[in-house]
Amino acid sequence: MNPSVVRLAVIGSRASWGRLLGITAGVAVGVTLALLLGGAYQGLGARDERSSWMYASGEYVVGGDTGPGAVTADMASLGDDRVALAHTTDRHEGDRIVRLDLAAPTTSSVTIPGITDLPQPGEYYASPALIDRIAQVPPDELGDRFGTLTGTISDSALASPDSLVVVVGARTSALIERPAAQIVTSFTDVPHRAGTNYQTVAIVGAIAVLFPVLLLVSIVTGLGAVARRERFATLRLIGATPRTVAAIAAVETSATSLIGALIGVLLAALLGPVAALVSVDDGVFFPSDLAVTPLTAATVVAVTVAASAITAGGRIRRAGIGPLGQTKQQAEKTPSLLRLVPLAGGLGILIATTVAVLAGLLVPRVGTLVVIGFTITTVGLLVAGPYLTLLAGGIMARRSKTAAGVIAGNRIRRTPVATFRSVSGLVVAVFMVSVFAGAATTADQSVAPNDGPGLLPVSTLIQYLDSTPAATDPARTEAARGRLAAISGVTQVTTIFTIDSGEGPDANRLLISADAVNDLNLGIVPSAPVVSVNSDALSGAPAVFTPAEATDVAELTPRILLIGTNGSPAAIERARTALQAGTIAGTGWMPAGTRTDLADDRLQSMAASFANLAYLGIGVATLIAGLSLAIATISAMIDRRRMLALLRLLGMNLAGLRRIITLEAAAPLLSVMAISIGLGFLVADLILVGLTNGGRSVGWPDARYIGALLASAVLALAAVAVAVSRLGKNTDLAAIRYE
Amino acid sequence: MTALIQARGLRKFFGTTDALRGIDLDIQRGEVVAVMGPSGSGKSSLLHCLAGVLLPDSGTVSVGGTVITALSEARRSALRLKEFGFVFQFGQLLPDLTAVDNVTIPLLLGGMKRRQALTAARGWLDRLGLEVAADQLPGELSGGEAQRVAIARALVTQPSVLFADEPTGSLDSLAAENVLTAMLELVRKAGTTLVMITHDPRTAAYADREIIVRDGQLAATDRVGVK
Repeated sequence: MNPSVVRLAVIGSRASWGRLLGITAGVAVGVTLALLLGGAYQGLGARDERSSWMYASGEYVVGGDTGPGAVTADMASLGDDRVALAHTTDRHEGDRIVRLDLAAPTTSSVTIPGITDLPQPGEYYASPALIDRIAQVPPDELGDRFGTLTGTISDSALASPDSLVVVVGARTSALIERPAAQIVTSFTDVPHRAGTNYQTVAIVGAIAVLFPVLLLVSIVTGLGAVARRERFATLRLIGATPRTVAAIAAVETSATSLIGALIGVLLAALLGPVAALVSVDDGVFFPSDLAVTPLTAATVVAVTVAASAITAGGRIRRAGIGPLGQTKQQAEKTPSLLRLVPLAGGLGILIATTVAVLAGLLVPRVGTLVVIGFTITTVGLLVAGPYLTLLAGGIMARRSKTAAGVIAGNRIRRTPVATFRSVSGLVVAVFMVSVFAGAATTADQSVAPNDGPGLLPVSTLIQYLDSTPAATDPARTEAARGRLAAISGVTQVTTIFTIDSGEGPDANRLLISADAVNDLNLGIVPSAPVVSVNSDALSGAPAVFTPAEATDVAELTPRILLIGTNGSPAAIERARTALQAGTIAGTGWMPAGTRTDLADDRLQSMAASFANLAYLGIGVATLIAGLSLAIATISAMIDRRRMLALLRLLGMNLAGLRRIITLEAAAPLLSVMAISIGLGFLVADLILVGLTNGGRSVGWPDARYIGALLASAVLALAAVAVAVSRLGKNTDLAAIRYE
Repeated sequence: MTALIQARGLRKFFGTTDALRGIDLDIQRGEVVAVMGPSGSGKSSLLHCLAGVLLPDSGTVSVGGTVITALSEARRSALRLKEFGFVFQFGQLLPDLTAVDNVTIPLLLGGMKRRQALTAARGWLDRLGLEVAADQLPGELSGGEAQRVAIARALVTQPSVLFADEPTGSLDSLAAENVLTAMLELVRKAGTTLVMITHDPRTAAYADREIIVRDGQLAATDRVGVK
């Protein structure tokens, strides 16, 4: 292609430079986000791989085994190539601590990533975040649980800078009493977890974020076509084919996109440390986690540039610029009712799945059906958008009482596809965030256990005792009870027993002495020396007491300690530390936890993280969609400047014109946003009900969601306002020629 | 008798081009004036200055005693809405609105209720023989029909002055004849002043007076007398 022809079509005015700048900025933002999300995808995999050593496993230690190769109380029985390991999840003020208790002789050849030497009894290695935390609180609330700090677990063996991990040295004699101790020979060849849901979200997000960018390129190119109509028409008049004109736009956009993409690569590198502060799954990222490989960066740049060029060329061809100085009137095909079919299909799958699950029918692959239904619904929303826009425009055109309303409503009704295109990015973002925010509301329900009369207080620690003879020795338990009761903030300690025989009316029941139960104040207690309590009272159900056959708890086996506290975090952590500090035996298998700790906080963390991602997503999508909307509005304004000026000629003032443009942008935006929100929550509810057999449903969204929606609406309308501010100049009567 | 439109010393520049070079002109109420002249002579600039669309660089225009060149843009908009109507050669209808909706726009801008505006608009379209075309989009109308819709829209507010710039310029002779007679019949019946630019002497012959503009100045102003 002749360079001077390209120059004729491309360069020449401030508006041209502004347009090219718009494409550059949009592509730069899109590539930045795509690279950061791509980095997150790689980083999530990398941190799973780094932390895989924590999930090392082997054969379980069999206590009392004396056969060849058996692990005994003698540390030497492990040899140099084996260690004994017990893996538990500890907690501190609601955060989980990965605790590995390890027994290994000093001559052991086994190594742990990130640690120079294996800890000996009384020593421990901790992650930097845990060391910081230990330093910030009194030793009897955390540090005393582990012994003496020997070294730091290096970042190369941690998932996140936030990771709370501790490797505690132990004696073999202590570990072989634990029911879950294992014999491990290697920590370096542990297969890491397969791709997580977060990786799926990240890669889908990386691809999805390019969608509004391409939309932006299309809209900006459309603006360019409108603004340079006469130039392109001149080229057509002197013999350029539509293909040549499209090629000019493609070349122009390629060059511009390449510059934008390279800026995006630079921005991604600069913003990596900031983006790394976003907490996903196990915590924030190391900045290096988000760095993509040169090959990935080159691929994203190449795909973006190619997609932008194809989009721009296609947009110019669709504009149908002829040789006579006018763009052909591109009458839109009226969207039909058929456009609702995919949306109805997606919702149908979700509704049918939910109804079938609730009806107790055996539904194979519920999860897959839900994902398919959700995907089709999302695509269906985009397909149905123009038809819904047509309906909204029709209602507005019929019901409006003002000139601005009649003009805007009819414009929307005649161009629903183009109108919806300018807001589609925002529509999808609002739909997605509504689904995730809706799903997150159920997590909030699950992490706030009820507290009240008849319920075990959430400030009470529950400690299950190991099922070893030492742990269940009544005398030792009684002594432990006394020590716990002496801790500041502990209000009472109650022992729950079982019978050993496993037969009779008291079999498999939790038994408590009536005196102790009365101190708990959990309701009416029958008059009997020993009573049984329902086991689900420990997980939040109202306590129900019935007389037990046993009459003396001294004949029973201690199984659980309930440590009542005054509810202060410090008191709870002091009690928890005392239980783990070795002063109280037989409490190693399952560290003590409150009802809140033992609730399904994992689900909460997942859902909340997804919601956070969704809020981040809507922020980004809103920015790009807002930019697209502003450009689309300006484009529509320039395209119709003669008509708008004509209205001024007829006597409409500038305020009236502003109302027209604002209504044309705001009406479809607000109406489809309302539909997106409603659909989002409906889909969230269907997904939750379907996946949990009706166990969970959507609640009210939190303030962040409302804030995100309001912010996106305000930003979008601000974008329109910026565009509208150019109205006076674009419809200046002196600049338009009427003949 | 005081003229409805009085222009004094009108001068208008576009860059270095002197489009109007000191024009003085009086137009009486109910008068039909044809403005003629070669291309680029300043006819459209004169019409736009008389209508308050363009502000002259010097000189004044008064309509009904109000000096419109001293008014703000908002006041001139209000004046155009209430007192003026406009018809151009082509492309003046809003393409997304049906013919009847196009005609309602000036009424809605004036604050009339939509239902009443629709009734009034249909009445005007009926008078111009456009009953069938009322619910069609501009793209579906013939050139003559589109011009008659534009005339209906220009006259629906019963303005004092109708400004027309080559209103039949894009039509074949039969359609032009129909449009012109319909427009003249309506303006004469209503006593509306018509200021009409035309290149066509046959069209100009319908006017009470013919003005010829050349190089931004009035070259001649003659009574032609065909009614």
